[in-house]
Amino acid sequence: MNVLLDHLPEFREGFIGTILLTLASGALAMVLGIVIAGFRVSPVPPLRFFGAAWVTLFRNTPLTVLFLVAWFVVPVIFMPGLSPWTKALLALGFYTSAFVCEAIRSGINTVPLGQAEAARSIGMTFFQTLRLIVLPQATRTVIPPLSSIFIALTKNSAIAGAFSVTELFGVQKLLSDKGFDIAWIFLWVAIGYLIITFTISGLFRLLERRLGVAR
Amino acid sequence: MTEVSVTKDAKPAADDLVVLKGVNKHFGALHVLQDIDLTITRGEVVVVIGPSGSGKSTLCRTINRLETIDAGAISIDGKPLPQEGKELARLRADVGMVFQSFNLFAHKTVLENVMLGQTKVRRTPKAEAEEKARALLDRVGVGSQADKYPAQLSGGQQQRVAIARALAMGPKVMLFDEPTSALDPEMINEVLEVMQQLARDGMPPSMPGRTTASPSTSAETKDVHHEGSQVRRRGGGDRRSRPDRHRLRR
Ligand SMILES: Nc1ncnc2c1ncn2[C@@H]1O[C@H](COP(=O)(O)OP(=O)(O)OP(=O)(O)O)[C@@H](O)[C@H]1O
Ligand SMILES: [Mg+2]
Repeated sequence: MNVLLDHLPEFREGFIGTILLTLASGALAMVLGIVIAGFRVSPVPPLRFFGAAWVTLFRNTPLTVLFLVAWFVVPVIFMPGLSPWTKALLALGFYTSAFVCEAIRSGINTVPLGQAEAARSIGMTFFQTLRLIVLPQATRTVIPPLSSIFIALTKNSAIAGAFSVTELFGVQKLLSDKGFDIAWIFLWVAIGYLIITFTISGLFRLLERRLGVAR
Repeated sequence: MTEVSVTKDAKPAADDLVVLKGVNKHFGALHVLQDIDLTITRGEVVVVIGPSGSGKSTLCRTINRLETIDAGAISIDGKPLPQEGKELARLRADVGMVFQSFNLFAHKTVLENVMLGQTKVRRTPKAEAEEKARALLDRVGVGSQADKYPAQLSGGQQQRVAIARALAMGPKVMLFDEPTSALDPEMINEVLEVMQQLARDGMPPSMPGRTTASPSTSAETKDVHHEGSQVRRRGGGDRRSRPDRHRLRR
């Protein structure tokens, strides 16, 4: 019990760290995921190939390996001097984007083909068709899988702790190194994650209901 | 309608609105469109008739390139159909299409369905687009349904909205792909009345259960019959008994 109260600042900092990292990498994953999903359904073969390659690469690589690449390969080959936080953001965002892309693509596939054909027949471009007609109708089916993806992202962000980014799971290491009772530490850390993941699933359920009445 | 004839009233080439030359289309092993030559002039109504599965819809869809062709050439108003992209999109805006299965935008109200193309493709100001949309909806007799979603309408009402949506773009050509085949008999009449009304107003009419391509001022009617293996044309004026073999399918 005391572990929490005595180290409230550490817990708070870790809690906020996890939230920020999840939010930022979630936003990055959404943007990338939508763009890559657009690539995957586009009429341009090189874009489709790029999209498929992106998903194959990031969906099939263990996240820890992506972290290792972000830490030890990216600085050497692409851009040196990234902060650990940015590197964690990139690894988590890219990894999650592959899953977001596939969720969105499956949503796109549930929209009847006739909708896109009608849009094209009145002169909409591919981009307009996707943005104005297909994606809005795909949203409803995409919400439940996205909820799962973001919960997974929250938990995956714990890996960043092992790479010395300040976040909730890292607090556990910090305190157990100081010799506190590990069971209590884990309990509080777990509750911290539960608060975040419950909030996410609650928000998504709200969103789902909101979209449900909009039609 | 077994008698067959060809019209040979040589119109000036400038009046040719839709021209198909040697168009061929395969679906795998199926040779759906076989050497189709078809010229539709301004003000002409063309009706394509044929049994189910013979390629009427496919023919209709190739004209605005929803379906690509394997060989031949299609041009609209003198311009050959471009590759997929901005230019093709511009061209499609001038070709109104009414689908067999309506395809109204499910997440938009009736009014939004008719406004969307105007505001997003034609860049018409909202107020102006709304005015035109409401006028068109009134004209096809569904003005009171403007704020409903497509799923809340009957089939006949949906198809009339679809016609209004196509007309809102001010198309040069209207393609009706069996606009009444998915409707109950009573609803067919609603839709046909609308199309007849449009024809009287100088907008293209259509035939029931048939694919119709008609430029937006109707003058003379020319049928392209397509029975079993051949498409033939029957002229509005003189009738001769020489089939103008447009093979759609063996
Ligand atoms: N996307 C496709 N892939 C493969 N075959 C297709 C495709 N679309 C149509 N076909 C085939 O092409 C033929 C012509 O189809 P089409 O829809 O043009 O017929 P139709 O004349 O419009 O028939 P209906 O009167 O029933 O609407 C059919 O045999 C159909 O099975
Ligand atoms: Mg058909």
